Amino acid sequence: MILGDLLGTPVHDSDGIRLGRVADARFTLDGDPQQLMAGARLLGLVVSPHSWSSFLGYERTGLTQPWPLASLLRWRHRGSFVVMWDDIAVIGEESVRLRDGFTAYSPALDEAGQQ
Amino acid sequence: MEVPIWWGNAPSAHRRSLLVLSVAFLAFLTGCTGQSGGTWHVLSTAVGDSASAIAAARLALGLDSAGKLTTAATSTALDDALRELQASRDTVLRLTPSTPEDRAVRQETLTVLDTCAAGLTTARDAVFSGNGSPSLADGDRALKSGADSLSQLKTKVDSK
Amino acid sequence: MKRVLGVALGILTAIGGFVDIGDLVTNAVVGSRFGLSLVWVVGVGVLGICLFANMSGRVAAASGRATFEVIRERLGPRAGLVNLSGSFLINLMTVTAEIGGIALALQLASSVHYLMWIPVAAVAVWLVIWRVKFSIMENVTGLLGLTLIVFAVALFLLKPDWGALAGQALAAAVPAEETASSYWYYAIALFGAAMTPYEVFFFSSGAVEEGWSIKDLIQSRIDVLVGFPLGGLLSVAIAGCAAVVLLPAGIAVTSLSQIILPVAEGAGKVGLAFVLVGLVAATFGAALETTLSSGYTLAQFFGWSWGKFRRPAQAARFHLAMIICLLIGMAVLATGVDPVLITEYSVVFSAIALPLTYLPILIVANDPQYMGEHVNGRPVNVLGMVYLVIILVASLAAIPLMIVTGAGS
Repeated sequence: MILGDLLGTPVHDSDGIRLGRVADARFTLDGDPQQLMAGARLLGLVVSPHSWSSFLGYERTGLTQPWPLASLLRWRHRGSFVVMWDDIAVIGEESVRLRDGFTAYSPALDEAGQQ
Repeated sequence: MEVPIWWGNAPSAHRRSLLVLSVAFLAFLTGCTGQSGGTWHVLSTAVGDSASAIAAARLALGLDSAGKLTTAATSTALDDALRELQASRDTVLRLTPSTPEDRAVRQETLTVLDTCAAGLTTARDAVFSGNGSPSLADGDRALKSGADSLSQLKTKVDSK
Repeated sequence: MKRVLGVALGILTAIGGFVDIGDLVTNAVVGSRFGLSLVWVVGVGVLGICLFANMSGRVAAASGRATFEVIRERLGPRAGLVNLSGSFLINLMTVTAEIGGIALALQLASSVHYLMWIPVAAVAVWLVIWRVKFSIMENVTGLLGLTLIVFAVALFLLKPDWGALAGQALAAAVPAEETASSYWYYAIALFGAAMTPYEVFFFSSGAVEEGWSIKDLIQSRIDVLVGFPLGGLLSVAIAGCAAVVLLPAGIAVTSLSQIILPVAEGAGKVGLAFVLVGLVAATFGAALETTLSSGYTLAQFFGWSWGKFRRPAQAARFHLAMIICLLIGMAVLATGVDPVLITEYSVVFSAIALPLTYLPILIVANDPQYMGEHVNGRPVNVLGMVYLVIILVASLAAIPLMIVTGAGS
């Protein structure tokens, strides 16, 4: 299975309630040092309840320009959140199930580009 | 990693119906244009395009005799006119008219287009001949008679 | 003083570089069939290309990244690849049209059939890309392309009825013998000809090639904001010549030889000489730009090293990609398909593909992580959104209109 296959997969919580679809994957560069930079490590998945089309980068920043494009993309992705890799119970062909009591983080990054 | 938009693997009934709808829409549009392609419509287009080609050839020949155009440019313009005329003639040849009237007018169109093609070759000979035989005036006369028969034919075809 | 000269040179090359085979053919076709009734579209297109070039130039100068690096980052590899394929194929079509244009212009000058000139043109384009410095290449073709101003001179010498021309331009109406759908089809074609995406790939990649910094932005902004509108006026002059001479004679333009007839009528053999030099320079310059653009888009997307500032051996895949593009263009032309027809389709497909590159640039030009303090201002964003709507409408309407009108015939 490659990561790309995961995109669009429905996400359920531990009670089987549907939360949305996988819209994106979040990586962090803190793996083993390699030639150019540290290796990338999968941090978690971005889950979006309404649409898993591209956010065009708007989930990462608080950017509101250009109106109304930014508002439109935000609206399509309202309620989206990041779940950490540790909070994922099962990744299957048909669905992703989260652990009981998972934490939904905001998809936005801070000024330094950190989660 | 920022990943896609409308290109994932997950099948979506919504997307499939959208695809079907757009194909149906395109088919509908193609149908619209297909219907207008009857014999008279093809003839009208062919005659109109040929008239434009002959007009361009006459303009080029006129500029050549006024010393405003080089031989290379004039002959290229005449070649282009001939090419356009032949393309129109091909569309007429591909017609399969069903009534005697349609057949007669197709025949008439082909005759007129042949006259025009002959006029263009006369014009080209005039541009290249050093001794003035045929002269540029001969070329223009030949083209003018072609243009006249085209405009008569155009009135006839368009009145239908 | 050097600065003033630099600005003047930039403006002149922007004027000369604005007109390519797409502008020549589309403006002449439109002028010969619709008079000046579509001239407003040139205005809309010129303002659009100024806006687009301004944004992509600013992105390139502020972030050091060219258009397709940005597109890949924002859309991700798969949607980015769809985007790349669309833009690349249309660019390839434009390369083919430009090489065909060089060959047709050389046929007009020599009466040797254009198919004979195609290999010559393609090899010449390749040699220039391989050997000649970026700035020299830009300036020489741009300045020689300026000879196309003879279209404007010829228009004056033809002594047209200016009132009637202005009437056509101001009271835009569909001429009696044309349908509304052809009118709008050609409106999209003109828009696509003025806003060809390759100009923007080329502009932003050129900014990286020449190592622009924020300091150079002012000069580039003047070049664009003065040069492109003047280039647009040149387009209008081409349409005007066709409207004055060809439209009354009942000639609907289908070949390059018809486009030059009004110039010969107005300015004689001298005018003809200028227009032929201008045609060769404009199509040759555009062939260089589009060929480089196809190399740029591929290399930027796949992360190859690219640029004319590198030696060919250090950007081998970039140069190989361009050679392959030229060979494909030659192969297409060798089938005998009419270059003017390819041009007419290429401008419409340019309009169809425009949102693919415009949207990512509009978004990134607003992102402070890339742009720092040089993000779009409010007026630019308002205009940017207006143009996003125009571009989307033109893109969506193009294919239905193409089918209904039988590609405008």
